[in-house]
Amino acid sequence: MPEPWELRSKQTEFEAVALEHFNTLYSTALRLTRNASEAQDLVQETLLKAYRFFDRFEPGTNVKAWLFTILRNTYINTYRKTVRQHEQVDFDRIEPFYADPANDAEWLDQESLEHVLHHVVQDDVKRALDALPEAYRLVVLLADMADLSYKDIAAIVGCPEGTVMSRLFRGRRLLRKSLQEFARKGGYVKG
Amino acid sequence: MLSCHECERYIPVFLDHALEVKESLDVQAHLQSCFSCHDRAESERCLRLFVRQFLDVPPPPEELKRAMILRAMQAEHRCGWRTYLPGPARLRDFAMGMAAAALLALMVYGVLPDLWSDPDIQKVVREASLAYGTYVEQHMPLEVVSADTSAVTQWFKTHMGRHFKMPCITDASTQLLGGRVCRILDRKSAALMYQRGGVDIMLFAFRGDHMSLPAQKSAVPNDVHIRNASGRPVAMWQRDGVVYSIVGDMQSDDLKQMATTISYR
Repeated sequence: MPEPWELRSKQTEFEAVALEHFNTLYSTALRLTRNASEAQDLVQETLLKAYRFFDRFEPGTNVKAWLFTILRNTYINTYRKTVRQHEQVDFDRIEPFYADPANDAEWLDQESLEHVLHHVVQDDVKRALDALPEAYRLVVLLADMADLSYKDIAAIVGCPEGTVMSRLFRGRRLLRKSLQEFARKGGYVKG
Repeated sequence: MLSCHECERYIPVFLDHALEVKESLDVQAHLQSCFSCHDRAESERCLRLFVRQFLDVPPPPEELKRAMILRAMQAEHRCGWRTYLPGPARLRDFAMGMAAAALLALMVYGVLPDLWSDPDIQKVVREASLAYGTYVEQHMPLEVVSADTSAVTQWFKTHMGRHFKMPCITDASTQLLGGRVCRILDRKSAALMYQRGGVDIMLFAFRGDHMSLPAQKSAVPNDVHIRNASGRPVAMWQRDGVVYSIVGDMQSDDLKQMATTISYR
């Protein structure tokens, strides 16, 4: 049983850490669960576990990556089972990370891409991201929303860095393709 | 000097600031001299910025953030309301809590033998009563606050599904306060909050196709079952695959009467 002053110190420290990363945790949870209420529950559960094991956290290590590891594990263990079936990704068929850009027909120059992006709306971006297979969606979120490094993402997801790079490359490419498709369907770009 | 082919392959990693120093300098040098690769890198950077900008949701209110952090810390030191709700990670704690509660119920009410026949029924009764107690004692926040039945129903339709039949207390003396989504039996449930004569009333609705409430001998409409949990009555019935439950600190007969006059939208 900790002394009252030790408890106060732990609480102050935890509150500062949790507040600093709250918004990023919530944004990521929202895109994972696709539902504000469940995102709130997921973050609440993450904070609860984080505080429970806060004593075991080693100062000097990456607290952000630690929090996201808890978030990811909580999501997988609690929410994904009940909310939706895990999309199966055939990783044997994933292209190597260093795919040949010359064969990348979806790649647009900056001007064309800006034209496409000018016409897609927020819902299109959400739908494009939600449509990604989960393995890609998670790494894209961790890299592009949470600003985590390949090394941190690899630790969170539990796979080699090379796999993280491969999934990121593939996920971003699918995202770009979806956005172009939305713009094309809206009649804003040709093709 | 990198070739365009090599540079293009490095661009995503370069933008993630994950290249080694030498490779990074090589890419920078190439981008300064090659318009095509520079354009490609800018295109990639533009896409990332755009996605980030559009996915950037408004942060929750500061009060809510602090309340959630506080709740996480309090739950570790005393029993917060969420610790009562089951989740795989708390399965052992929950099982122990359920066992203790069942023993207590057996001693106090002597109703346990009847409830053992369907563990799910007992769980619904207990969780509904606990959620009610939490709402009343800890002021669980509502996600939709409105006395307008249509507005609240519409809000729940977007969260529970268009075809989900939302219950509605039609009694004129009962006032709607709002509602929120919660979890009952580890599944998503609508929770509507009402007040009648200063007494809070909670009405739950969740999908329960797997459940089968025993038929009542009496000819009460909707086959409303009444159980007691934590000293308060909990009414429960099933309709078109949806389980409904109503809880309030009031007489069993009043609760039952209220349950039989509910309409569905």
